[in-house]
Order: sequence, then structure tokens, then C-alpha cells
Amino acid sequence: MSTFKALIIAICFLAISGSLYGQTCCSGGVPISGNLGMPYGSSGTWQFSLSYDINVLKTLKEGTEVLDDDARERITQSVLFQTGYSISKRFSADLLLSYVKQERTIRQFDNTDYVSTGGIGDAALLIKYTFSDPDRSKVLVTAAAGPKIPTGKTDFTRRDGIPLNADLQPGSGSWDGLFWINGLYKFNFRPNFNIASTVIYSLKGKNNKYLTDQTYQFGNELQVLVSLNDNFPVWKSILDATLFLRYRKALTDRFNDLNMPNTGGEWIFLAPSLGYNISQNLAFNAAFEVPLYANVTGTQLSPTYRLNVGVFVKFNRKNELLKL
Amino acid sequence: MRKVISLFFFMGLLLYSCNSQNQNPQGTNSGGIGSSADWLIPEGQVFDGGPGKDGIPALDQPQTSAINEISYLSDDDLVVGFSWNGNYRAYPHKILDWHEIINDDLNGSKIAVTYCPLTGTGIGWNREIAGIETTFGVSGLLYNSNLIPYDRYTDSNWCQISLSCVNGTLKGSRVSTFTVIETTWGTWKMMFPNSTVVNTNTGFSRNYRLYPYGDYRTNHNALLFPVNRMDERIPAKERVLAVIENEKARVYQFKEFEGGTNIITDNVDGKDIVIIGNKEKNFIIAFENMLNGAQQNYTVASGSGNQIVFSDTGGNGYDLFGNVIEGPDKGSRLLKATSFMAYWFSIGAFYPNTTIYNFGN
Repeated sequence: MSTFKALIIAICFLAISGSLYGQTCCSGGVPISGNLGMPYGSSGTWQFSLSYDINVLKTLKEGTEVLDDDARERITQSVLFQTGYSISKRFSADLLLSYVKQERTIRQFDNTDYVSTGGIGDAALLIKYTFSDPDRSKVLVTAAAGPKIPTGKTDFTRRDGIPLNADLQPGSGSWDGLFWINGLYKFNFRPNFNIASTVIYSLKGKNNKYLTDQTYQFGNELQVLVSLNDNFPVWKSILDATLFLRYRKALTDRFNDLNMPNTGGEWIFLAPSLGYNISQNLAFNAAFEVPLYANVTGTQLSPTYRLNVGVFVKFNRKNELLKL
Repeated sequence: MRKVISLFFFMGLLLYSCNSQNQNPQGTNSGGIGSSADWLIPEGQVFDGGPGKDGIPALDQPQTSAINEISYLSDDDLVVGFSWNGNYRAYPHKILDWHEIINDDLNGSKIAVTYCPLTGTGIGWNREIAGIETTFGVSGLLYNSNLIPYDRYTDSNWCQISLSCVNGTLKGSRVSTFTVIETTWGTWKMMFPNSTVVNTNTGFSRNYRLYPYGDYRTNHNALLFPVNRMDERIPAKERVLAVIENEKARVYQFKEFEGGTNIITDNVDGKDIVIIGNKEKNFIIAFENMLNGAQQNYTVASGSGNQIVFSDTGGNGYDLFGNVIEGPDKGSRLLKATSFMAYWFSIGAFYPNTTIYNFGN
């Protein structure tokens, strides 16, 4: 129990630290698709996760070259609530809701210019199907598809009423198509050890109400995640260690069907993640992501680091949650 | 049960941490809005360009080099040229694309070269306003896709094309302008070989060989922000000279200046002007047709060296800035008409009844 308390305190500290970030600036992106997909659960299982995600962009790049300029900063903070229900052995559904805060800070010529918006972000729904028999197969393949639903606001303005651009809005204003496939392989020599890969393609729709009557479309996005995962007993609990490698390619955004300069690019990220399983049904995890490679289109701010902390709960019988 | 309560506490904390700095449901910002929320232009059509206030950093007192020390420019690259008291300086688009404003002091002039890459407008602003010297910065705001500079003395916002303050304590004030010329690097260095040129040692890390807006300057369909109206009589990104008189605009196209230097005399809303242009050498400039209180007749200069572009019947030879550099009135100069080069769409957006000069009519 003392470990549990320590974790709560540590995560609360992280949460409060996030609130102390005073300022920001450009091209953040709400991490909806990257966080999609609950783990496999047996029929009748409910799963919940709540996570806090902070994505800090303050590396100005031109192509692959880092420019010596730290005047701009752009932060996206998100709280992501995800729930999944296993309808049967093979079918399940996930729903993700988000709350998003966008910040932009320019520190130039001894002045600071700060803009922020915050509100309900977009939501996503995935219907998943597991092809292999989860009870027998060492290889688990799950495919999913669903919409990203434009529940977030896209018409935030500055304090003086001037509309902010698409990048600084909590929502995208578009219905997107999400396509998700995950493969997981468990090894004979060590059943706890597995390797997994997830491919996510996000087909972006258009926001036809951008700046009242204009059209904005974020660039289609491909993400490929490969992870190595193992777990170890620590005291009476399980420590879950995962190493993620994430490739992301985003096409350029489009304004009124024409390419927006300085948007889109390719990135490779490395993210070590630690999870602490208090019980089979309750876990905390934290991941820290840094870019290994970035090749942006034109000149733009590129991610500098990202932190994600969260809690995961599952139960599959009435009142099981209370037996945590 | 205690764990569940702790979990909900944790969830609440997460939400608090994400929202605690945004008590105002609208966006918040600390600057760039002047001292008044009232605008002289439609506020709903002023847009945040994305980079934010000073996100595009203006240059102050830039470093310069002699022409023969410059290697980052090609002959076809455009420059904005300025002359003051016998000194000449070029401000290349390759620098202005990234900084938009250069606050300079050339031989006693207090000039801010303002350039908007989205409207293609390069205008020399006088940094002295009501007797007070200031510098200008980039507010990050746009109106009709056009640059809104702010002055660092009062933090008021100005509109580049309308040459006026549109928000803040100086609202309603007008800026006076200097004569600047937009032409190619090849023409500039031929005409003004002793000129200085802003070099790439700006103090900012940028790739000045890269144009930051993709195919924007050649794609007539590409606009990055809404404009009030689109006048489609001329392709949107065609560079024209706009002459503004009493809030009325007339534009002159390069097609009127083919086959060497041509001179046009015209009248724009009651003011007599003379326009000198050369499509091959890539310049058009307009002056008030008045030298020392008298109208002149002008002819294209021939064989008098590179600097003398045209002459008058009184025997005076003029350089591209309208300075009399040879003849009985040497030292005098023509006053520049209120004019600037621009992408056509921006003039159509600002001035709804713009007339287009046509030699046949």
C-alpha cells in the first residue's frame, strides 16, 4: 500500500508540474490516434484508461537540420479518457474522449507573447476484431476501424476576438477515418516477453467551417509502432517495461484544397515506458518519448519531447472494480 | 474502495493540471493587440498568421556587404532597393521573406523596409511618427493576407498596404513612405555597383536560400488566408505596380513595358504621374510629374551610362529613384507617387474599384 501511495504522489506531482508550464507556440497535434487501442480483453471485460499527455515542441527544424532558434514553443497538453468493452471473444469496441489545451509562446526581443486555448477535443470510436484465437495462439492479430468524431471546438479566438488558426484549436472540425491493426507475438522461451506492432492510418476529412467559411484539412497520417515488452515481479506487484519505436509520417495540410507550406514530415521516436501493475486489473504507467529522427517539410517546429502518464483499470464481473 | 477514490482524485488532478491556466474560454495572449480592441479594419477579417507576435523576427540595423561580397543571390532574385543622400542599399527578398521588416538607418534616413511575402508588397516606411523615432515588428496578424506591423513605441498595429494605423493608441495615423524600388539583383547591381546589400549574418538561424512558402508566389490559386474579395481580371500573383491616390488605385502591368524602357504619363484621380518601366530589367516605378514646380516631358535615356534611366526636355538626367544626377537641376528629385509593387489580388482586395491601365484605352 505504501508503494501505491508513493505512486499516487509521484503522478500527482507530474500532473501539477504540467500545470506550471506557463507558455508555448506551432504544429502540435492532439495524440488521439497514437493512443488508440486498448489491450485484448476476454469477453465481457470493461477497460478504462485515463492519461495525461504533454507534447512539447521547441525544436525549430528545416528539413533534417536543427536551427539555432529557441524563441518559439508550442505545447499540447491532453487528458485522454479511453474505455473498451469486449463484446465477445473476438469483437470489442474502444471509445476515446479528449480534453485538450493548446499553448503557443514566443520569447523574442525581451517580450513574451502567449496564446492558449483549452476545451473538449475530438473523440474516436474503434470497432476491433481479433483474428487469431487469443487462448491458443502465440500470435494475436487485431484489426480495427472507426471514425474520429469532431467533438472539439475549432473556433477559439484570441482575447481580442481574432480567430486562431487550425493548429491552435482543441478540435479538428473533421470526421476522419481511422484504420488500426495490431499484431502481438509471445515467445516460448519467456511467455512474459512479447513483441508487438501497431499500424495506424488516419484518413483526414475536411473542416468546412474553418475561419467561418473556409476549408482546412490536416494531412493524412501513417504511424507504425513497434514495441518490446517484458514484465518482472517487484515486491508483490509486477513492473511492466516496454520500449516503443514509433514512425510517423504526416502529409501536408491543405487550405481550400491547396497545400499549406511548412506542414507535414517524417519522424521516428523512441519511447521507454514503465508500468506498475498493482494488481491484474489496475496499473499505472509512464512513457517518455524523444525524437530520434525528424525530416520536416520546409521550416517548422518539431517535437522535442513528450511525456505520458496514466492509469489503467479493467474488470469483467460485477463489483470486480471494488475488489481492486 | 479507497483506491477507487484515490483514482478519481487523480483524474480530477489531471483535468485541473490541463485546464488551470485557461480560465478564460477564449484564447489568451499577452501582446500584439495594442491598447485598444477597436480596429479600423473589420476585426473579423484580421487573422492570426500562426507564428505569433515576433515569431517572424524583424531585423534591426542589419549587417551589410559590398556587392562583390554577395554570393547568395542569383541575378533573377528580387531585391527592394533604397537610396538616400547618395547611398544605395539593397534588401533582398531572400532576407525579407524570413523577416518581413528591416529597421535601418541609411545615411540618416529612418527607414523600415516592410515586406509582405503573401501580398508581394515591399514598402519603405518612415520610422519617425509624429516626430518620434520608433521601430516596427511583425505582429503575426494579417488582413487580406497582408502584413500588420506593430510599432514598438506604442504597440499599435498598422496595415501595410493602407499605410495607416488600424489599432492602438495611434489609430488613424498615417505613415509616410520612402521611395523604394523592386527589381532583380542583376539589374540592381548593374545600376548601382557601389551599393551595399543586406547579408545573411542576421543573427538568426535561417536557410536564406530556401523560399518558405512552397509554390505560393507562382500558384495563382494558392492563398493561405481569406481575403475580402477576389478580382480575377488579372492572375492573382501577377506582380503589378499600384498607384494609390485618394484611396483610389490604378495598376500598371509589365506587359506595358516590353521592348526596353518605356515611359507612360497618366493622371490618377487628378494627379499627374509619370511611370517608368522595363519588363526585361524587371522594374516599374511611378513619380509625380513635377520637378521644381514644373511639369516635364520625359524620354528614355540612351548611352549615358547605367545609372541614367530617363531624361527630360530641360536636359536633366534621372536615375531610377528620380534623382537628377546630371543636368541643370542636378540634386533635385521627383517626388515618388504613392505606389508599390504587389501581387494583383491584394490590390483588388483592398481597393474594390481599382482601374487597370491599358495603353489601347
